[in-house]
Amino acid sequence: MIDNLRKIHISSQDTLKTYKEAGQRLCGYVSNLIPVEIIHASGMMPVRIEPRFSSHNLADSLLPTFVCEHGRGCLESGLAGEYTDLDGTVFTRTCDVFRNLYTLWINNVPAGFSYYLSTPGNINRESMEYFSEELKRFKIFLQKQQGYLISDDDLKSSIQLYNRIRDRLRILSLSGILSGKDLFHLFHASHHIDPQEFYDEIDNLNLENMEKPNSTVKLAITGSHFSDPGIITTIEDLGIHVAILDLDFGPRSVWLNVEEEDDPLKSLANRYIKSAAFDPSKHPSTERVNFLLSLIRSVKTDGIVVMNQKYCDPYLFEESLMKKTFEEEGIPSFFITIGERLEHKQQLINRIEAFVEMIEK
Amino acid sequence: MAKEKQIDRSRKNLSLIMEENREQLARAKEQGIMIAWMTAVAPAELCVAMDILPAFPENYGPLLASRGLSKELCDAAVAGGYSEDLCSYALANLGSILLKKGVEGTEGLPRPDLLIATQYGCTTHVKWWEEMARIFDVPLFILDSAVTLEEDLLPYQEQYFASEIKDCIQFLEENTGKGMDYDKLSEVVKLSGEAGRLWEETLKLRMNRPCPMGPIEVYTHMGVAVTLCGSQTAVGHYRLLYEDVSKRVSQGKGVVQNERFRLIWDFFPLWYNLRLFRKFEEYGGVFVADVYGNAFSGNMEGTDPIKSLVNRYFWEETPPRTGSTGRAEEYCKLIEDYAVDGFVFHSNRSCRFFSPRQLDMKRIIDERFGIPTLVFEGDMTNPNLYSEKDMESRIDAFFEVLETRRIQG
Repeated sequence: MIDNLRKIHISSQDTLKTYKEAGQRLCGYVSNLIPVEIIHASGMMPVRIEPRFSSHNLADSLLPTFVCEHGRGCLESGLAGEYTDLDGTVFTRTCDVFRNLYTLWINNVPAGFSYYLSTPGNINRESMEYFSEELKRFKIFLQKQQGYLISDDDLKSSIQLYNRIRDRLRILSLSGILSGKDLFHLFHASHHIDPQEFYDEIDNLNLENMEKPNSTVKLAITGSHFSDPGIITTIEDLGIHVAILDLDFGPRSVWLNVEEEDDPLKSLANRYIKSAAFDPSKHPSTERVNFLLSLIRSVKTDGIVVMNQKYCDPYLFEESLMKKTFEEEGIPSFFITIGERLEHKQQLINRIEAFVEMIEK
Repeated sequence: MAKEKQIDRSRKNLSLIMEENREQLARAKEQGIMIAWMTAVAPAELCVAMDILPAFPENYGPLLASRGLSKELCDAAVAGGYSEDLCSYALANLGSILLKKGVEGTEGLPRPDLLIATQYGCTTHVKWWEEMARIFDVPLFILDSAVTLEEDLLPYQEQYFASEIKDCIQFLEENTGKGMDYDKLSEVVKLSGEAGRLWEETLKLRMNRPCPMGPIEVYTHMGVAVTLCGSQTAVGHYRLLYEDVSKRVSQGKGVVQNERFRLIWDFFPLWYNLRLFRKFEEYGGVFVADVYGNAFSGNMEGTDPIKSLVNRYFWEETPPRTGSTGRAEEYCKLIEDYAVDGFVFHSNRSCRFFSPRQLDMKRIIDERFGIPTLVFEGDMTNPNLYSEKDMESRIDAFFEVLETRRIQG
């Protein structure tokens, strides 16, 4: 079953085309902070924008050298026409690069409408009210795009579906049974197919029938983002089980559910503001680090590898807090700067082997 | 001699008031005055009205750079475990904290009692201030703002930003044990607005040909609006400067004797190498406009101080205005109003807030005006990331293009 999701992830561009040809409208989005439920309730399928290429010739003409490969890669995908099937794209307040991407995208990428959703940074009663209003405007905007009036029942139904997906992904991601590679494809696939189809796929996954990875060392990986599963397979080929994969796509993206009983937009505002605390561009960083600690304790990994992309300021700033926290908690940790793709395989192998050797001592 | 006299009043006053500010900060602890470290576009008016002394690590960064300390301090921060890719204002500041080293033999900015950062502006602000809260173990307030796609804030957006400012006031009240004096706040906001207005009027004098005020003067005087925010001193200073620059206009005196090319600079200067502007001046090139110069002033009209602060600060992160499109539009207007011949983009390695939009802005400006542009990579505070030699040859080539264009009409 995971094989199927892996295939879906790898061939996700073809999958998009298939949806498009079947008349499905598609809406791109760039961050976990965007409530996909509203997009889904409007009748559009949410599609996460991702880097697709290993080179960035087109994006290099618009971005300076010192921008992370993730931002550069997403823009490259847009410029290269990978997302021409999208009917529009939604941006929000995350890191500085992605905030800039909003106008760069509008001006240079032919991909339908663009919308900028203002996610507040602080969690309090006023920010909840503010965000509810922002979501109302977002809903109205999508209604105009779709020519369809989104009802509360539409929203509730989408909320319920995504809650069920999150429930299932939480269980799967903390099971300690799936390999890091499987987790990688599982989470990535979730952003590229129809959510109901995705739910049907994962609902059929039976953990009891699966064989637990036979590894002596269990590691957690955390960090910004990368789109190359080769990074995980290289590590797991060393006989290591990546039991926690806490990237932008990972447990933190599915940790909180939306209340199903209340006013749907208010519930969504509530959930997404609280989730924003897991986003490294937001305050306070301690929320995310504490969350990570709880994952490590729950799955009982032997150590953690922190993989941050070069020039990714929010994550790079958190490194000192993480180093201090892991040291205090007695959790072996290892920090490595990476790109969007695996470039120096042998170097990664050598460094991970040295880290594991240190753990085993 | 005449030239020296001409700039002396405002320049002397600048040295005097900034020195007074540093002394005030140094004496604050013994006088029981609290110090709040704030990000550059935070509403410092709130602190001033509460008799809290604001201090600005981002203003201190340029000072460290201009005194030749930034390389050592950035290196110290990296040696201390911080990534070399982080903002060099942050690295210089963290290095200063680690080494206890600042300008003029001091230990750096006096230790803060409070920390206030904003979510608008860059992501670095939040993360950097969080790090300092861990180092100093003092209360931190993060001020959020509303963002709008409209020309002005909608009522619920204004209400949210106002509530954030009120929360910040509550934070200050809780940590000082006294209430906000709203009459005083009104007065401080009024003074802040007046200083900003005078500064903007002064900057507009650069429209004159020859341009009476160059970038070095702009970048050294602009800090007054931040450091001495909401004070009569700042108002007095900008009045003095306005008079000085107006006098130059009436006397027909410019930054260079033979002004040949009028230029725009985007965005941060090289604080450790302000002399670079002289190289442009050797060719008769003068920077006559920028948007950095007036980044710290804004409209503060109105009788409700909270509303004035909302109106002043909300646009700091409104994407249509501050993204590549809005910023390019702003520059296009400056190019027309200030009769600009060429454009220089400093692609600042430290800044992932302003730098990623520059090439798109260049594209828009190219399409609209076709004026020569120079894009170079450097860093505002860390001289390790800048090559003087490369830059000089690029400036030569830039002026060759400007000359050719002039000849060809």
